[in-house]
Amino acid sequence: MRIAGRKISGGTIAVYLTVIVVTIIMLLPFAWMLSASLKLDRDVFAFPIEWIPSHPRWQNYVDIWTKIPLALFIYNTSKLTIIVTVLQLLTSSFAAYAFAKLHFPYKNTLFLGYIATIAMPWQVYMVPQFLLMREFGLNNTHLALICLQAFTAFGVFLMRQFYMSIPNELCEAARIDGMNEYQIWAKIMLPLSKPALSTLTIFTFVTTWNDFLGPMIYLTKTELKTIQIGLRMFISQYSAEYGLIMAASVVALIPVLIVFLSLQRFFVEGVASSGLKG
Amino acid sequence: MQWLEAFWTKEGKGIPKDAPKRTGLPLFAEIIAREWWELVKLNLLFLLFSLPLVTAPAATFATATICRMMVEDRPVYLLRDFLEALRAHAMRATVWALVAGTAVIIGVGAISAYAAAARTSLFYAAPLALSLVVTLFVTLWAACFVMVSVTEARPFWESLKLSALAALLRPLPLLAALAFVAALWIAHILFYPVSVFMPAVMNFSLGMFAVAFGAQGVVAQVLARSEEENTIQEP
Amino acid sequence: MASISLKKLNKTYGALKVVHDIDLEIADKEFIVLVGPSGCGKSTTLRMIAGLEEISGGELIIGSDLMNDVPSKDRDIAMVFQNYALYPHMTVYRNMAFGLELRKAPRDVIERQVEEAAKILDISHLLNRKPKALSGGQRQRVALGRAMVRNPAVFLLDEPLSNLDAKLRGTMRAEITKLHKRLDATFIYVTHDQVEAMTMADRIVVMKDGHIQQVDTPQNLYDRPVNMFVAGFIGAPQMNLLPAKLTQEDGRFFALVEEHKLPLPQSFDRSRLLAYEGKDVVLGIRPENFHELAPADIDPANSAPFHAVVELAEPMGSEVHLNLIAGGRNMIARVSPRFRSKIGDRVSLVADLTNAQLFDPQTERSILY
Ligand SMILES: Nc1ncnc2c1ncn2[C@@H]1O[C@H](COP(=O)(O)OP(=O)(O)OP(=O)(O)O)[C@@H](O)[C@H]1O
Ligand SMILES: [Mg+2]
Repeated sequence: MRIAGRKISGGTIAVYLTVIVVTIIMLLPFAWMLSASLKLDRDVFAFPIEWIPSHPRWQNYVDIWTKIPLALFIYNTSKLTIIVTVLQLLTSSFAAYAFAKLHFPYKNTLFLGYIATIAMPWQVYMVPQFLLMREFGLNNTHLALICLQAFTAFGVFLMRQFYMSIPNELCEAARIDGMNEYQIWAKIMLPLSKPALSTLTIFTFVTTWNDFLGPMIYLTKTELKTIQIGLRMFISQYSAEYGLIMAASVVALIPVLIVFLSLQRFFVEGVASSGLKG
Repeated sequence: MQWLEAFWTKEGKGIPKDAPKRTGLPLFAEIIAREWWELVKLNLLFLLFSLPLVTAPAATFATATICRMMVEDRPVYLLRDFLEALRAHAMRATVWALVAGTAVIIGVGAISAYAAAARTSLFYAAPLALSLVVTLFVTLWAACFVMVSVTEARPFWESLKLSALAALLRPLPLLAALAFVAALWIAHILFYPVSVFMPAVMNFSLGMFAVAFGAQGVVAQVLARSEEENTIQEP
Repeated sequence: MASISLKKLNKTYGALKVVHDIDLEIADKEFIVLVGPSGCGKSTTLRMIAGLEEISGGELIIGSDLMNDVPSKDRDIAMVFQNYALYPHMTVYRNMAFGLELRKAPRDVIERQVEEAAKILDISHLLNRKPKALSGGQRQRVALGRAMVRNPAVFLLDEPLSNLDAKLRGTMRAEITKLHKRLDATFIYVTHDQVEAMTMADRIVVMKDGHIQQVDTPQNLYDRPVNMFVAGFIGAPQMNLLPAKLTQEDGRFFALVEEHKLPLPQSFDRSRLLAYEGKDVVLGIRPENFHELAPADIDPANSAPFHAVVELAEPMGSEVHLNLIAGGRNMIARVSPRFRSKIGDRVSLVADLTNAQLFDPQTERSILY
C-alpha cells in the first residue's frame, strides 16, 4: 500500500492499529473520569454512557473545595511527596554510587540482599512495620511515612545500573585530580545521571502522590490526611458522591501530569541520544 | 544499561581548526544553540539579583559581562563571574540606570506629547521626528555604554565618549539587536497565556545576548582605536 | 626529582597473582615504555604506580618517599587513559582546569597554565566546547592537556593512542615524544604496540604473565634479546626461530639447520658455545638478515647459502616479505622488491649470521647473553 508516496507494509499497519487500540483502551477510564466529573451523581452510572455531558456541572469543581478540606489534603500530599522524592533521590544515588564504584567487602552479597527485598510485597510486612512505628511513637505523623519511604531498593537498583555504565576511568581521573568520593558523587555522578534521576523522580513522585495504603494505615487524623484517602470523605455510609470524587481526582492528577510531562523529555532524550545512534 | 556506556565515550565529529569562522546570524544561532542552557540559568540569576530593585542595574551589567564572554567564546564560570561583575560594576551601573532611565523617560514623554500635538497640527512633525531620533540614539548610546564598560575598564567619561562614538559609527547591528529584544517582548505579549514563562526563562538573557552580539564588533573597534591614540600620544 | 623505583612489587586478586615481584628503577625524566601481550599486567603495574590499585606487596618509591599508602592526588602524578576519561559535562577548559581548581590554585595561574597547555597542544579553539563534540584526536589532546596543566613530575599513559586511527597515531606519537622533551618529566607509557615502544622509549620494559622479561634501550632489546619471548615479541615481522644443532669444526662453531651448515661469527663467546657443543639449540635470525645476493658489506665468513620453498610473497612496496618453508618450518625473509619468485619456487638466499641469536630450547634463555 502507498500512503503519501511512501510504501507501507501490512505489518506496519497492523502494528499501528494495535498500538492505537491499546492506547484507546488505556485512555478510556480517564475519559470516563473526566466526563463523570462534570455530571450529577445520579447520571454518573447512566447507561449508555453519555461521554460529553449535555449539561456539564462545573459546580462540581467548586464544591470539592468546600465539602472537604481539599486544599489541606493537597498541601499534605505535596509536602509528603516532595520530601520523599528528594530524600529518595539523595539516598538512592548515594547508595548506588557505593554499590557501583567503590570496593568494600561483601558488596555484591549486600546488594543482592537489598535488591531481594523488592520481591517481598509490602503487604506482607506492613503490619509488623506499623507496630514497630507505633512503638517509636510515630503513629499519626507524617514523619512515619517519610521514614518508611525515604529509602527504596528499586531506586538504588536503577541508579546503580546507570552508574555502572559510566566508565570507571572517569572516577579514577577525578581521584587523581584530587576529589574525594563525596565530591566525585556530587560533581561527576549527579550531573551525569540526569536521565536516571528524572526517571526515578517520575516513579517516586507518582507512587508517593498516588499512595493509598500507606497514609491509610498511618494517618487517621483529618488534618494529616492526603488526597487519596481524603477522597473517601465523599463516601458516606449510604451514598457516594461520584461526581465530586471524579472532579477531585482530576485535580489530584494534574501535578502528576506536570511532573511526568516536564521530566519525560530528559528521560526520553537520554535514552534516545545514547541508544540509537553510534 | 551497559549500552549507555557508548554515550559517555562515543566520539564526536570533531571541530575543525581552520574552518572559516561563521559570522553574522549563523554564528548568532550557533552560539545560542550551544549555550541555551547557560542562557536560561543566566536569566534566572538576573531575575534573582534584580529582585531587590536597586541591584537591577548591576545585574544588568553582570548579565552583559557574561553575554560578552559567550560572544567571544570564552570559558564562563557562571555564578563566579556573575557575582564578580555585579560587584565590579555596581556603582557605575546605578549611575547609568539613573541617567539613561531619566533620559529615555524624558524622550518617550516628548515623543508622546509631540505625537499628540502632531495629530492636530502638522507643524509638530519636525520636533516629533527629532525627539524620536534623539531617544533612539540615547537608547543606543546607553546600550553601547554597558557594552563598553563591561569590555574594558576605562574612566567614566572616556567610556561615555567611546560609547557615543560607537553608537554613531555603526548603529545598524545594534538597532537589529534592539529590534530582536523588542520582538522577544512582543512575542511574550502576543502569545500571552502560552508564553507566560518566557521572561522567566529567557527574555532578559537572550535580549542582552543579542545586544552584546550586535555591539561586539563596533565596541572592539572603538576601543582599539582609542588604544592606538593613547599609545601615539604617550611618547 | 621524580625517579621511581619499584621493589618486589606484587599484585594479587584473591588467589590470582597478576604481577610478580617487579623490580624496576626509573630515572628522573626518563621515557619508559611497558610492553607485553594482552593481560600481562602492564596496566595493573601502571595503576599501582598511580595509586588506583592497592599494592599487594613490595615498595613503590617516587623521588625519595615511600608511596604505597599515599593517595593518588598526593603522588604528583597525572594519568592519561585509553578512553581519555574526559568529564562529559564540563567544557574543555573546565576539564583542564579542574585539577588545579581542586588544589585551590590562584585563578591567574590556572588561566595561564590552561592557555599555555592549550597553545602547545593546539587546542585553543576548543576550550569552550564540550567533549561530546570532539573527535578522538582532539579528545586525546585534551586528555594530555589535562595532565599537563598540573605540572606533575610523572606522567602515566595507558595505551593513549590505541583508540586512534593509524595515521593520527603516527602524528600523536611524534607529538608525545616532543612533549616529553619539552616538559622534562618522567613518562611511563603502556602499550602493546611495539612500534610505539621502539620509537618513543628511552628504555623498554618487556613483560609477560606479570614478570619482567627484559629492560633495555630499544636497540639493545632488538640486538640482544635475553630470551625467545623478547626475541619474538620485538621486531616485525618476527625473528625466525629455527631448531638447530651446534657443532664445532676446525675451531669454528656451526649451527646445523636441516641440510644447511651455518657458520657462527667468531665474535660469539666461545666458552658459552662450548657448553652446548653437540646439543640442540634454537637459532634466531631476523627476516632482514636473509638476502637474495650477498651484499658487499657482509663478512662472507659469517654467511651461508640457504634454500627454502616460497609459500607466499607479500609485496610491501619498499620490500617483499617472503613466507618460506624450510624443512617443514615456516619462516619469513625480507628481500628487495627486485627479487622475483613464484609460489612453490625453491629459492636460494644468503643467510647473514652476524646478528644471529642462540637460545637454549629448554629454558628459552639466550646462550649468548
Ligand atoms: N579486578 C580484577 N580481578 C581479577 N583479575 C583482574 C582484575 N583486573 C585485572 N585482572 C587480571 O589481571 C591481569 C593483568 O591485567 P592488566 O589489565 O594489567 O593487563 P594488561 O597488560 O594491561 O593487558 P591489556 O593489554 O589487555 O590492557 C589480567 O589477566 C586480568 O585478567
Ligand atoms: Mg591494559
